[in-house]
Amino acid sequence: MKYVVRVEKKKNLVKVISDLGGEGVSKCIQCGSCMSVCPVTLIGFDHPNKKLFKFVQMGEEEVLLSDPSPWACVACGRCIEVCTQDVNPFSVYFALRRFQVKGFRIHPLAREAVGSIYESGHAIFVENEVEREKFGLPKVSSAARSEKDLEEIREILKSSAISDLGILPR
Amino acid sequence: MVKIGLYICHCGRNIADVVDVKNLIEYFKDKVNVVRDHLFMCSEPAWEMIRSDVASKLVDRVVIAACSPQNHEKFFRSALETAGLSKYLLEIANIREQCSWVHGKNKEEATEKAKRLIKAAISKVKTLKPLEDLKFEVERSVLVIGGGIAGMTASLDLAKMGFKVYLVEKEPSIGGKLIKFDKIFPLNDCASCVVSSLMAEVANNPMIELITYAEVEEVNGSFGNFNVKVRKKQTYVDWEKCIGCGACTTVCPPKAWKPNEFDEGLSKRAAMYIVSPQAVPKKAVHDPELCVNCGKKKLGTRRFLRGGKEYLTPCEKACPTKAIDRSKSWNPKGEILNFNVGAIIVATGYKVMEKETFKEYASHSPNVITALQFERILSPTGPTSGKILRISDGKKPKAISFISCVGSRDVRYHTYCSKVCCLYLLKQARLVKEREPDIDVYIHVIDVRAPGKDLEEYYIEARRMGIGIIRGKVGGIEELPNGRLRILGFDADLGMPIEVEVDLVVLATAIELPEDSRELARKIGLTVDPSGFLKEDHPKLRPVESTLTGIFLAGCCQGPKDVSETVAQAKAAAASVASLLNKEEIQVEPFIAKVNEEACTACGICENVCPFNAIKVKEVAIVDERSCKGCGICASCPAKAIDIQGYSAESITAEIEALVG
Ligand code: SF4
Ligand code: SF4
Ligand code: SF4
Ligand code: SF4
Repeated sequence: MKYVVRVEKKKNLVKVISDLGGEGVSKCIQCGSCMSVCPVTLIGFDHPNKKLFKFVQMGEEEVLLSDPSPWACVACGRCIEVCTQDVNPFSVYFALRRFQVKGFRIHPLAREAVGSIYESGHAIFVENEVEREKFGLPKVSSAARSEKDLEEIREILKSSAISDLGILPR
Repeated sequence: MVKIGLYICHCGRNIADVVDVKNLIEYFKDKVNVVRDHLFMCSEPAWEMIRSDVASKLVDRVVIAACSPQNHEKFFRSALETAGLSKYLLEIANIREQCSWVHGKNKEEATEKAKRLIKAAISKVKTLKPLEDLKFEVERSVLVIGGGIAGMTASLDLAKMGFKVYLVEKEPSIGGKLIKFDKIFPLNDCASCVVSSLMAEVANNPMIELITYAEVEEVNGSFGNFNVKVRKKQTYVDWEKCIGCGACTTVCPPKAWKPNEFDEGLSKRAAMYIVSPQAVPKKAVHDPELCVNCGKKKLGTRRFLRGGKEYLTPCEKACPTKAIDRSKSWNPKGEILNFNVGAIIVATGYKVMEKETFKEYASHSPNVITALQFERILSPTGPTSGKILRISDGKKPKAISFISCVGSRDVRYHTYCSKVCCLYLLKQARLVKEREPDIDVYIHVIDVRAPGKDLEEYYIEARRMGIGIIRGKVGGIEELPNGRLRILGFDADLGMPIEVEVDLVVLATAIELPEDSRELARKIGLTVDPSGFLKEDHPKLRPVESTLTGIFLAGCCQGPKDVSETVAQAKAAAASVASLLNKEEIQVEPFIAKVNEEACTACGICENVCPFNAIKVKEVAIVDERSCKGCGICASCPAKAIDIQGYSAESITAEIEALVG
């Protein structure tokens, strides 16, 4: 696949992403350090951090709106530690989430995650209780087990901007 | 009987890992008077060891088995000299470059070869006679060839040290390429402010004789006293009278115009022209090949109108000081100047490859230009007065792509890196962004090379300014029907091809040695290295010395370099010249032809074959010690009357016999 850059269709995405909290994006020199440690890369996403930052710099809006990898960020912060240019890749990734949401381009991954938080209080739900018992681990005490906590979480979601997106389960 | 000392170097592990030094010591211990080895023979303790062996008369001939004599021969000679022995009773067997480095895989054979080389050196050293250096008077003046930043810097430094300098420049003005630039990295300071003051200083320094519009024709003699012949082209304008007003240049008709070299062909100049507004000397020059002979008044003729009034061409008429006189005929040979100098600095600069070589980059399009042309567009003295416009239609481009490594780092053209392109492209891109932030700017690179003070920071800042850096070599450029250009590139960061549509393309074409510098090198005997630039004597130890004693190199004729490096090299060359010429007399190695007058039959063969005109035959052959370069061609004398000192027939025969024996 190739990508085509034309000045007529270009947007100043560096400014847009900076305004959404990813000020570091203009500093990225594509050294690749962040990608060497990021779980998103290691698990095999197509355009993990630095590649998306390059698309930002080149003004490629379409890829940025549709790519799922920002939603796979586990906020581990490893990229922040290794970045050679003080980009704070994590913040740029989160700015990209905001960018997609603002463009009403909410990836199924994001819907699933929000839906799961609404239903169970967790983005990723731990199901395998049996295995834990086998190893003598205590049961997970989770929001999902407390109706009261779950209600509160749902309230928060409903009163946040997310409710405007129409992706909360009815 | 001579007493030979053999000194074998381990060169750290360079030699000893391959050549069996113990074996050599064992083998030679009965064949010479002293054998010693050392981890580093070029170290002070080893030097002292040799010196004391000689001083205590343990040895009176020295053989060093180490690296190439290129590296440390002088150093070893000094040990002999300090101990009171003729320093030329020394021979070096090169068991590093010629053994361990090339036969690393075959240790036994390398050791055998080392043995032979040492045997040959021993045989030769036995035949050597004590020699004295030749001593010559020194001419305290210097020829600097090339009036760019390198030549000007070197000239000024030498003039300030009290040397008379002849600065020869082939263009009518000094200033070189740099005077064409707007700004220079990494400070983005004004190039003109850097160069103009130097130009003025050169012009006003009484120790510098500025000879512009001239070329070096011939160099004879040798270090300490070169005889130089310079051809000064005919300018057709009496420079004594010309005040550089430019009146003649504006009346010259368009029929006599051609692409202006100073603007890299982006504008036109007339047959009567002044190189640039900042020219030094600011004098007009007439280009007879371009002249249309207004009013049919050919050069070298006079024409009278009816009534007896003399007809004057527009240029003649326009000149307020009557500096133009077309009744003088054209002498294509010009005027020959002769002078003597003690040393020479070659600073002839560079050229960039023509864009036409690169058909794949749509070089036929007027909107594909070289970086040097773009310098002129950026310059306030250029064709657009520094406005960023396309020359083809005078419009401001919406997007510009800069392409690096055009002809560099490419086995089809040059394998070397032109070294400055990354940074000047970044500079040009930054200047575009500063002046016209809405122009989209891309730089396509194989990678960005920005080593050196402040340079990486300069690059990072360019990225932050929003300049698109696209890592990947551009494969082609297509001209679209609407005149725009489509770059077929590759984005290695994303691992995918990229197409960029732009209005102007700037090519960073490779830096080369100009053809006329190559010609000059041929004339004066300088070596051109495989990259095509002038070769320095030793890349690390003698980086400003050429392969000929007394001739030095400065600036891009020796290889691509930026302004800081060029100035550093020019200053180094000036200092090296001064250190050699700052003496009453100079000492020169005595390896020159020596005639045995008894044997000479005066047949004259040697006079005919000597490429340096160093032999004259009268009653017998006589060698001019200053001119003889010791090349040895005359030793083909049928009467065997000529030997090269230090390389006599006896020595060489002894060496060969030991090698093959
Ligand atoms: S914080 Fe997100 S982007 Fe950074 S390394 Fe962790 S998962 Fe990757
Ligand atoms: S580590 Fe920083 S500079 Fe390097 S690619 Fe990642 S974000 Fe860019
Ligand atoms: S070639 Fe030999 S013999 Fe003939 S003139 Fe020269 S030195 Fe004498
Ligand atoms: S060695 Fe002989 S041929 Fe060579 S330069 Fe000297 S005189 Fe001329």
